[in-house]
Amino acid sequence: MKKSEADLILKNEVPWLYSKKVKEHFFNPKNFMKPSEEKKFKYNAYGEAGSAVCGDLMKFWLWIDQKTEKIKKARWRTFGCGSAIASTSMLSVMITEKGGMPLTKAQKIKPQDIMKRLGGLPIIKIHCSVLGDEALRAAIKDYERQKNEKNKNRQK
Amino acid sequence: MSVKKTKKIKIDRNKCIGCGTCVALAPEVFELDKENKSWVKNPKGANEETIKLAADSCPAEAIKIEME
Repeated sequence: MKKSEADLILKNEVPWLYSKKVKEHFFNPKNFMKPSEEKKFKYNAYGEAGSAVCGDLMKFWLWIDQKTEKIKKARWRTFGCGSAIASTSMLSVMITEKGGMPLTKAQKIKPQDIMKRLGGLPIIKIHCSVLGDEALRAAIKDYERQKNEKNKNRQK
Repeated sequence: MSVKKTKKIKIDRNKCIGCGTCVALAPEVFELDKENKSWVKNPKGANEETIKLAADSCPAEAIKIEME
């Protein structure tokens, strides 16, 4: 028999609450790709991640400085819920703050790192928050693929 | 002396929906197979806390940690 949500929360002893930080990013998402800027936004890496079973999809656009290989700008969009929105918003802040995160470091970001910055997530909402870093890695892969292609063409 | 207990991670394939949350949280422990179902590739790939987080976060409650 399927347990009710209340049972789950009680069992895990976590409050059914979003942290202040989560609410802040949910209500005012940072680096969200607005429909009006989609055509104008300059990017050199794109990635998406999604799970058909949970019905969510995440898209990530990046502008990477080719000399330093740091992420200078990021945009994202999702169908997801509050947890997915807040997590990805925080992730986009993490990768672009302090002059931009090097790709090698961005590749290693774990959902746990994002959760820590958010002040925690209700345990039954954690599964909604893992798409962001997956889409980010897909975008970085896209950048590396393009770079390799360019290098190949140069050698020809 | 502490009593040594071995823990076993069990995945109910019928319950698993293949969302990949466990893989995202503990990539050294879990992996999705060809049928998009999670399996344990290395039960010692992460610490207890991480494995517990992955099990607790499973939206289908397909992962159980059993004491033997």
